[in-house]
Amino acid sequence: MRITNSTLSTNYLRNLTRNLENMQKYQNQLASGKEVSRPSDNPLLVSKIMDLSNNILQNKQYNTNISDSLGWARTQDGALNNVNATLNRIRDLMIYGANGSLSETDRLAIYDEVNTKVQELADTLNTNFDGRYIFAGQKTLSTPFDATSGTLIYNGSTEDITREISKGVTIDLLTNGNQIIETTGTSDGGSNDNLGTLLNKVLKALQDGTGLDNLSGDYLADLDKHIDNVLQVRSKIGAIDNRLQTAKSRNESENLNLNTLLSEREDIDIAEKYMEFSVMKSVYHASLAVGAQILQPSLLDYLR
Amino acid sequence: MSGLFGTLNVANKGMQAAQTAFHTIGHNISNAETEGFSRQRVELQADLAYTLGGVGQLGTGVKMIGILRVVDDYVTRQIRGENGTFNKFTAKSEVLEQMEIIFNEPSDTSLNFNLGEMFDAWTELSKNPEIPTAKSIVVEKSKTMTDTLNHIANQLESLKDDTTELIEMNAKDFNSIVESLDTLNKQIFNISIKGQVPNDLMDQRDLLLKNLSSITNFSTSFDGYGRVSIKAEAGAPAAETEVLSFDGSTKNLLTVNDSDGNVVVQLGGNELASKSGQIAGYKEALVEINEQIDELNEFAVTMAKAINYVHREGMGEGFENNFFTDNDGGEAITAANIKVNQVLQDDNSKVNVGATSASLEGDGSRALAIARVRNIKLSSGMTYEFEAGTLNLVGDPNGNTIESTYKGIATNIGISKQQSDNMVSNQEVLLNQLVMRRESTSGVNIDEEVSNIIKFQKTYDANARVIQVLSEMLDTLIFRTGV
Repeated sequence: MRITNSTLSTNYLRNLTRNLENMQKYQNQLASGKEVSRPSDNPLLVSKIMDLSNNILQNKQYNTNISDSLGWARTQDGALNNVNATLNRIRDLMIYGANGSLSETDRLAIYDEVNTKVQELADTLNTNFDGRYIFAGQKTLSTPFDATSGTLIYNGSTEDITREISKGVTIDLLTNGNQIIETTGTSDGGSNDNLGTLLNKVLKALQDGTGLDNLSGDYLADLDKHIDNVLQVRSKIGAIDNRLQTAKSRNESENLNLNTLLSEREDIDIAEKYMEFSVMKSVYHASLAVGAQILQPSLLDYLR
Repeated sequence: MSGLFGTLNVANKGMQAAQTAFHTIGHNISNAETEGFSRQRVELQADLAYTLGGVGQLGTGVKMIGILRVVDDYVTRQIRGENGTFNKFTAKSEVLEQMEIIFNEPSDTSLNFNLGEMFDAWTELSKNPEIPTAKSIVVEKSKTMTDTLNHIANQLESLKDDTTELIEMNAKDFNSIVESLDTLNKQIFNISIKGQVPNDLMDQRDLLLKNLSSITNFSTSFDGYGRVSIKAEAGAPAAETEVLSFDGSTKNLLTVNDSDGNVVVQLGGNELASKSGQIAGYKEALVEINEQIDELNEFAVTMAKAINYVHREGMGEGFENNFFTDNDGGEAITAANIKVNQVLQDDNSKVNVGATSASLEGDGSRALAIARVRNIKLSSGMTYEFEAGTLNLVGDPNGNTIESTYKGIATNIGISKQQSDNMVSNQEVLLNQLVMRRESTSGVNIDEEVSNIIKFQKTYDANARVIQVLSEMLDTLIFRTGV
């Protein structure tokens, strides 16, 4: 093949440009730390990267959802622990008060303490988490329990609150406060199914000194039912806490997996890339040097 | 016997030939870097011999037959073909690249990211239905998303306008090249008719034809004078239409019409069937842009309908606001005009969070249902209904989630661009090979020209020496043979 001067220079320039393009590609990758910067670099890869970034963002959101929910469940558990202690104290006081030989002053003293414990119950159940009442159903902004009249009354709603903890999976936080003070199968055909009613009767008996035998009889049995009920609610909340913890650890390992996958696809291997870049750099330098050598001379240089 | 003067004539012809060759070498060297130039050569031949009785044929020196340009017409034609394809895909890649930049994926400021943030805001709202700020955040994040979508749609529209303009410019270029070719044809004819070969004009003609092939494909034929006639395909089914005849009596130029925002390049009243060249490339790019706009519109509508349905349905009188509307608050949504309902923007508290308007403050079920639309498969023709007893939208198993629909749109451009880029680099290799072949035939090699200079310098010197010797012989004859 006949070679001309412009063959040499165009060929040389084309190869030099190609080398420069490669240099730019490596520089881009090294500077951004990313394998691809445009869909056309590798459409399939970019599609996967977009998918993974979406999943990671979504996963992060689920993680905050789970953490928030865990906070709720733990606060609820703590509150119910106190409720349980208070109810047990009331139980003790009831047994003590049922003693017929007590003087009226002593009985009234017990009355006062039970009354305070009822207020305490309301206060505990009115626990606030993150600006919201944890046992108010969906009426989260108004105090759900009221004992100012001497009777424990529930003013909240009876719905729970739903949270999404992973794709398509929701969990109900037991915020319905009614279930804590409502049980079934109490004496007298269920007339004491409501804790407020029962405590009211107990207080009345202590105040008036009438029907004191109930305190160690039906009322005590009914209160035990209520204590059992609270324990049951507590164990339900414990189960939710458990589920949330499992979900959290699954979420976290999923997050790790997703990030690893993303990193494998998106991030460059710096050492490898730098090696490639160095090789490219020497190729580029070599081509520059060769260009300077071959483009310079012609026959004219040797005709004197 | 030829005599001394005959010999003088032979030497003289030799000197003239050397001088002409010299001149041509100078011409070659000075045009070494001229685009489209083909090297020229003085064609020499031994002149007619003279019969010397009893001796034989006596040569009468050298004769210049003509000045030839060294070309390979086959390669020239191949270059035109490949140059057309190369330019088609270069043009297409160029537009697709801009489209890719408009979508700006993958990045932390792209629509994909905004969509994710919008749905996250809905999830946060479902967790904090009591907090007014959570509603404002939903509105703001959704506004960011619609702004990005509007921006992409508008950018695509202006890219469409720019591409249309490029097609118009190409048509103008085509016309002006055809006009130049017509003028050149006439000049070539005027010289050829005198029996001479207009080498440099023919180089110019070939160069113009190569430039023309960058614009669109055409077929050529040449007549005995070296004039070119051009035909291009137009109409459906495509038929050859004469663009330029040899004598220039027929000349059909390209016209560009805009019909319904779609550019149509016409030749002789029919649509030009351009298969290669920039016009074909830009037209293919336009098709892609239109597809993207349609898909983006469908995406906007499908997303808006689903979210609107969940946001609105069953809320109760006075609260059935759509979440997304068009610019006028209506439902004629496109990617360019989608916005968050002005009513909700003015009063963020009107964003629906609970199951009904009578829901309590802690009920975030509707917001949660909207957040869950993210993972529901939607399609453009689906019927919208809730799963019984919930606010969860029933998806279309054959549809796609919002984010994966968008992902499809964004990566499709990447696929087209990659394809087009691959074509460009393949075509570039092919074209370069052909250009090298042309260069190897027609290009000027300085070393070769310089060695020819030396060669003809020696020839010239030798011929001059013959004259010198002849002169001495004549001197001897005239002055030394005493009369």
